[in-house]
Amino acid sequence: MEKVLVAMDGYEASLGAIKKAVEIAGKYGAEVVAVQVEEDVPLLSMEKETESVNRIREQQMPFFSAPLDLATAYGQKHGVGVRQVKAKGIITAVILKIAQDLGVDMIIIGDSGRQGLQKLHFGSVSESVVRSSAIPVLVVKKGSLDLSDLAPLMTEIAGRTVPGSPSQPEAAPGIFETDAFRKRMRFSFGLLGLYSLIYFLAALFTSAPFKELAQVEILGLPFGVWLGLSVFAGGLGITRVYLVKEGS
Amino acid sequence: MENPIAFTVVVLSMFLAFFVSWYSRRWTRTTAEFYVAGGKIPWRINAMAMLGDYCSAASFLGVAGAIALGGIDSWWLAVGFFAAWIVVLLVLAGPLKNAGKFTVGDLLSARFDGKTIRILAMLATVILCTLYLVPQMVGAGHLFQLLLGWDYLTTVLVTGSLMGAYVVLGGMRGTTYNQAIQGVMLMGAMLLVLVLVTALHFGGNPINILTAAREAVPPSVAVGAASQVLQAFPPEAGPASASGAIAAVKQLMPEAPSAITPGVGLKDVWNQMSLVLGLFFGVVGLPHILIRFYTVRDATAAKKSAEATIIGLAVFYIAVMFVGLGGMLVLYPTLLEMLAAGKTGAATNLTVPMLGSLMGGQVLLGVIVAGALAAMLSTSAGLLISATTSLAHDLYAGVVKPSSTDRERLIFAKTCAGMLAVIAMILAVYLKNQNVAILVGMAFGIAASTFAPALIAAVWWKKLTREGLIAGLSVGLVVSLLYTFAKFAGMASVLGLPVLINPALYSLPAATVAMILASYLTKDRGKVVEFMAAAHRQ
Repeated sequence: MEKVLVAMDGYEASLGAIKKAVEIAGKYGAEVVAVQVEEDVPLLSMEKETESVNRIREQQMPFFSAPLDLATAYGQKHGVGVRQVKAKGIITAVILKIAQDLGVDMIIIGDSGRQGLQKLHFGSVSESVVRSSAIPVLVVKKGSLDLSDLAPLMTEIAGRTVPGSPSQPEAAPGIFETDAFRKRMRFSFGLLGLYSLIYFLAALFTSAPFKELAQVEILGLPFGVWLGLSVFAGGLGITRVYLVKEGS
Repeated sequence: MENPIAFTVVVLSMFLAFFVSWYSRRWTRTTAEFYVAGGKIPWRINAMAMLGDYCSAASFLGVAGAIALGGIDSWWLAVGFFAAWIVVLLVLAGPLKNAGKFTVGDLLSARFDGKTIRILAMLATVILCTLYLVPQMVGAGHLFQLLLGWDYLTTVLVTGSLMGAYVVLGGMRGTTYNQAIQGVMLMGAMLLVLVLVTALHFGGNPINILTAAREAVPPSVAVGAASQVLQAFPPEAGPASASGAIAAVKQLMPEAPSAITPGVGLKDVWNQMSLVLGLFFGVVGLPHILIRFYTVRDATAAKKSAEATIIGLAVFYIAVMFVGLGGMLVLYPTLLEMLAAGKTGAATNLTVPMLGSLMGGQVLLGVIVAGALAAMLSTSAGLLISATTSLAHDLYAGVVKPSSTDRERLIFAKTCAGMLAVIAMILAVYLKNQNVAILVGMAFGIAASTFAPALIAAVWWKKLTREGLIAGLSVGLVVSLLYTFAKFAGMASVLGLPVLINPALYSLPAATVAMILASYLTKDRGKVVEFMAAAHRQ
């Protein structure tokens, strides 16, 4: 056995999993691959908060915000190498993909013990990993291991991070190129100007003072109806132009 | 109960929506097969979700109803709803995606920190969401009145409480799969009505609808002749009497405009321009819509899904024109009778469900009500969540009690959601007889006067200053609210200017001028370099 993957989210169940992973890896002289997946789902911030409150309330803590650093520190203490992997996506799918890509020999994962409606709603990641994995999986249930020896490490790591600093660092700013910015602005607002022209002229010519013009029949339809249709056609055309150019 | 079968269809579809919103959350955590598609939400599903998010009661009920009563001029509502989407794509979606900010407060405070701008953004968000909620409740009120035979007040109270309860109880999450199903239901119901009305009443050729509409005087114009015509052609005789009634009105009013005569719906160019201006820039100011624009991560899928949504909207809004005109022609005596009896609110909002009931009985009525309900609930949930997020983060956590726990913030947010739902219900009772698309148009007008100039300037204009932003937001909010409530109160003019169908013609220029003037007079441009670099990186 060369590599043991452990999936971590900072909740109590996954802290038990890291203990087990280091123990097993130590015995076999294997490397631990500690994986933290940021869930990538389209939720508004209030929805996410609803979930995290439910989770914390149900699991009574402890939650640790830097689980990968904890894994590294715990590994060092026991002479086991830990590789950190951070990823983003659908949790189960990402765990399995990393396991496959890195060719790990075993997956270790915590089980929250979530029951009833909560389980029905959130599902169980450990269960779905067991169900879908082609690699052997070890599930560590919450509360099945004594976590007290992790506490000093957690305090130490928490002390290292500056209090009050944002948990997620702001994305590094790209280089702001004025020429590219001007070009892009000309392009976007040029198209907007063109589309505004189509739209507002169509609106103007279908308003009361120009109704005689709008009522002139062309190919069996009043000009005003053609103007309305041209707003749709123009919009589709401009979308095409914008999306083709934007990608170049 | 008046329509037990239709009611059953509606209840079943609600259960489906509930099931999906529960199950999809689980599915997005635990599916393993997903990474075959690269771990991304497929662009088709995202496009349908955008459609479901965007099309509210206004698009589904209001536009077709307004066309059925007033003729082709009311189609401008749909044209505007479509065009607004292009504006968002061209000037805002890209920078917003780059900046990683999807709410107004977040985006504006990324450039200008401090409390004032956050509070202003919160205030405008809450007002906007509440006013946008009203038409959803007006639509729901009329719809259940038709479905169950309850009176309007009762249905508004019941459906309004339900809408509030979804959010307060934490259900009805706006996850992509649920929204996508609602998008499919909306689109499917509208196209089904179009196909049926064309096949059953117009020989299978939609052009015949336009040809027939040429000979019809719109019911809102013909209402004066209603009593004479309805005796000979009563609504009870069904579609058979419709063509007789149309011909009789035409004889009585030979000079009246036809249903496809443009330029007669609004009395002057100012009303027309104010409405189209408000619609055009309105979506730019509705950031709960923007969140979905780039849900798909990879650029190709994002483009495909943006384009698919725009094509979908074009199809939907062109279909709405045919359905509205077809509804007018088939339901002509019914609409005339409702207008003559003063039931304006029901007449203007219920054309599509009445048409469905006429052609497909209770089953089709049920499908259409389910489609409309899908539109209202998804929009309402999104609005309430946006408003309460802003209240909890910007007001409660930012000002009232910075030391509050997550749980306290959540309780505060849920209390607010309940209160906003109550305020919206009271307004919905008061605004019973308004067309829901016109009401949504007013919310768009306020958005176009506050957030549209602020957001566009924040991401494109380097010389924008903190004071300029504050001035623009405040002036836009005050002027647009002044003219919106003057319209609700039925006033003819305010401050010497006539009150128009939409506030945007006054409030958008006023906000823009205030923003530009104040920006030239002051210096604090915020974190302009960092912010622009983030918003416009390659």
